[in-house]
Amino acid sequence: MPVILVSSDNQDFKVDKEVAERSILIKNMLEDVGESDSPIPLPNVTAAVLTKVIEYCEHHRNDPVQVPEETDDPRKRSNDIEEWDMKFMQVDQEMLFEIILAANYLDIKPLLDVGCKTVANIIKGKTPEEIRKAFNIVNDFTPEEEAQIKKENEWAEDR
Amino acid sequence: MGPQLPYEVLALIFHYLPASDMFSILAVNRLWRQISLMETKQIDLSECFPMDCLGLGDDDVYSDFDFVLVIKDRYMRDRDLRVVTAGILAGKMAFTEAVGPAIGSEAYLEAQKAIAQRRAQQQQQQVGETTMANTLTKPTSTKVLRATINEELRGFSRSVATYVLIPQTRNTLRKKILERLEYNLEQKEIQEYSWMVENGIDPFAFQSSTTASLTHWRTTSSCSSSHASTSTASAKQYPLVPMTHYRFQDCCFAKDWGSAMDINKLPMIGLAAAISGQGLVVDLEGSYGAPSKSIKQMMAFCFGAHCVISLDLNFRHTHMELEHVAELLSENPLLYNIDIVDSPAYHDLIRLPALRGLGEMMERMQKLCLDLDEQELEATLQQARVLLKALDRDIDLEEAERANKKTPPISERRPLDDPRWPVESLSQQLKFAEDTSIVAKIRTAKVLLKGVVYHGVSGLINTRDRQSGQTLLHTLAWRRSYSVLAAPATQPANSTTPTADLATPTATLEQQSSSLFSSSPSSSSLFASKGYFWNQGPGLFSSSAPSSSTLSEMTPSPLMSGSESSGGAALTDSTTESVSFELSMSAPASAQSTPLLASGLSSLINISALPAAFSSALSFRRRSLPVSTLWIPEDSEDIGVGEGTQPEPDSDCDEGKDDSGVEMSRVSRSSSPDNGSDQENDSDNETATSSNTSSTPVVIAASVEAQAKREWVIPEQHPVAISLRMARKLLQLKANPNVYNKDGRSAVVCASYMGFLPMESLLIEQGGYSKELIRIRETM
Repeated sequence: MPVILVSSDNQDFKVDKEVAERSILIKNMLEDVGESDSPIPLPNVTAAVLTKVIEYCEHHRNDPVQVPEETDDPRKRSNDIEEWDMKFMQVDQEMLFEIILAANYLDIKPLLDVGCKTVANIIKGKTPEEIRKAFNIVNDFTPEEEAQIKKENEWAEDR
Repeated sequence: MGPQLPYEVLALIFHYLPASDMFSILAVNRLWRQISLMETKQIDLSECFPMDCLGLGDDDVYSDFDFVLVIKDRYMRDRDLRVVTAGILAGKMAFTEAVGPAIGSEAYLEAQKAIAQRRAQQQQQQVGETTMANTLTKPTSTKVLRATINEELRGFSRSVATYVLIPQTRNTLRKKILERLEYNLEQKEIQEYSWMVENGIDPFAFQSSTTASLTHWRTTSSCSSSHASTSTASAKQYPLVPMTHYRFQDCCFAKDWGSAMDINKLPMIGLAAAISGQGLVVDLEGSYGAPSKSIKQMMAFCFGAHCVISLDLNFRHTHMELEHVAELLSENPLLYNIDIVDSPAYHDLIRLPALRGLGEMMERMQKLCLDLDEQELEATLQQARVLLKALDRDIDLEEAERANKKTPPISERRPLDDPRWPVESLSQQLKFAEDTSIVAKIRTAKVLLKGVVYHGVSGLINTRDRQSGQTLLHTLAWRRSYSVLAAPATQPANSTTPTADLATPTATLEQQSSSLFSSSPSSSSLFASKGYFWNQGPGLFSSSAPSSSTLSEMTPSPLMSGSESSGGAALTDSTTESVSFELSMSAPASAQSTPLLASGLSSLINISALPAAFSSALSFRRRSLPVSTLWIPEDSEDIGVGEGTQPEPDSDCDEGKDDSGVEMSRVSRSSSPDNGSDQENDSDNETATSSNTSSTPVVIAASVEAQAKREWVIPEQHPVAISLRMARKLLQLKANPNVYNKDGRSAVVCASYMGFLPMESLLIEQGGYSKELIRIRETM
């Protein structure tokens, strides 16, 4: 039975229920409303982002649903992204962040994890200035604070 | 600007970052700094430090721990500092310059009492449950002192103390480590450290630069009235747990299994413990001779802790049997690297079918050293290298296939000697407890195989023969000295003294042997009659007669053919019942007058010093070594290797002679051995004879001119030269600091004892050792 998802810019997306229920949020909503043809509004997700999210859910529709305890890996690694997911995440930074936000909002943990790992991989190896530049982050430290931070790190730079 | 990621998402992202990147994210902006300091409880250092430094290659090793610090000893300075800094930046620790209360003060005594209470509590917990549990080492609110260590405090800390160590400043940490390494590599004494408050950070005491950054999440501390540095902050925040500081050896013998550490790493270890909040540190370095049960207890304890710091787990257990090693490995996933070279376990391991005949190869090398078969030894060494290389390759292939899941289930049995599956083969050949999982068995087998491959040929060279207690170098050294005994016979052919046939001075030899080897008359006569003496016991000079099989193996000696061809004087093993050595007299006098060959070794050997060297060597053996002790003094830290020989200087050689090796290493002059005379030979014999009794002073050639007249040139095929060449080759293989760090000292001991003074330079130049690392025992 298809489910109709409505993006924030009022675009309808008809997806299989199985695909839609990759989102825990949507799944819970469907359970709450029961059998209904009513479209499900997603005010926080634009059509462009929703397209990507649906693409991800379609690809992973047959993946086993992860239970929290199985995914609660205290030791998190970012180098185990599947190839398809890696290509999927090859988008501009804005879209990447949007996907992450959407995954967070829709409660699609695998997508959220992939997105976070992707961002982590972007951060790896970069200096603070490079990170700011990559993510358009404003440096809001005072000069004194920056001096303090620099002093904290000075011995870490030693070899 | 694009969308901003929320707090919780950033926190999730930071969890995927290794600690090394935390230096950067903490400096991006305030929000990132706050999030990283607040939320990153786990520090995955696996990407900071190469896995090979600990061998932790499998994910499941980490699954039970909050985090694992991986520190490679070699890079301790750099990486430890990064770890520590990461811990600081994670908000788990801080530095302080404050000084605690005076020793003996009320606060001091109060902390002492509290620590003792906590220690008792920990012991009760350990007795109750030895399996991993988060609550095993849950800290209680215990006041901890912060002080500068002096003798009193050191004594106190050794008695009851559990404490956390925080250096005064970050730079102090590095400075301390550097200083300790620089001044005293071996000394493991606490110089100075400071303690830290458990369960919190005293905002008044810590004056480090991170104090301000900790303001937001530092809970209100209720300071103790007795000591400003104590506080009872919320347990959630910074549960800096005290920990014991004992060295592993101390723990081993004192049966105190709180934790152990290498004192050199003390400050860093304390900081790392502060990261975890559990304060449990394990350093198994130097755990020589520790009973396996103690090791298991230690590992069980640390396994039960949240934080485990693994510090160079290549520890050497010379007394552990293979079964114990397998049990230890199978029960402790943290143990992923083990060095069992020169242990009974190693002997048993390399004889298993999965090791493809490595044990037999080692036995063969022993025999080849005894026979001074230079070429065959080289060939066998090469075979061993090839074997180990193939083994390593097959291990990797097996691992790859297993990882790709292209193979049948692990439980499917395979031929025990299936070369494609060395790990699984070995896992089936090892003895395990009934309840050992297949995964544990596979892991254990892999660790053991990797260990053998890692040590490679060096491991074989470093391992003593089970029968004789001798390593290959020992055997060669013994052979060299034995050849030295025969050196008086290498006098020029014009000598009329029938010393070439040592049958003549039988009494002399018998006297020597009786004092030299054992008090048993049977052994001395056996020595005299057989020309060799080989013991069957743990020591070289056992009173038991060598087995006939051993002797039969020694004959015929390949040296015979070598000597016959080269014409050099040779020490042969007599196949007859002749009373003494029978030297090959096929060598014409012209052979003995061969000028000094281009052998560098020959040039270093000055037979002219033979009398002193001879007597010195004999007296050394006679005086210093109990029967069961290895002939060559071992590193005194090798507990269980014997009694740590400390031979006394030979009082007979009190003319300032250092040792036979030193004497032997003089550059020989080019005088022809034809200059030798009967008179000189007699004097040599007299010297040798006189050295038998300690009360008889040895007549040592005093004048340089006399020495020059007695100088000998050792031909290339002389046993001395051959043994030295073979030993040199083995030393080059043996002294690999990258594989077997502590071996350098043993190698140098062997080298110096054999007169390889230049070998020290070799070790420095080629082995990467420095003068400071080379500790030549003053045993000569």
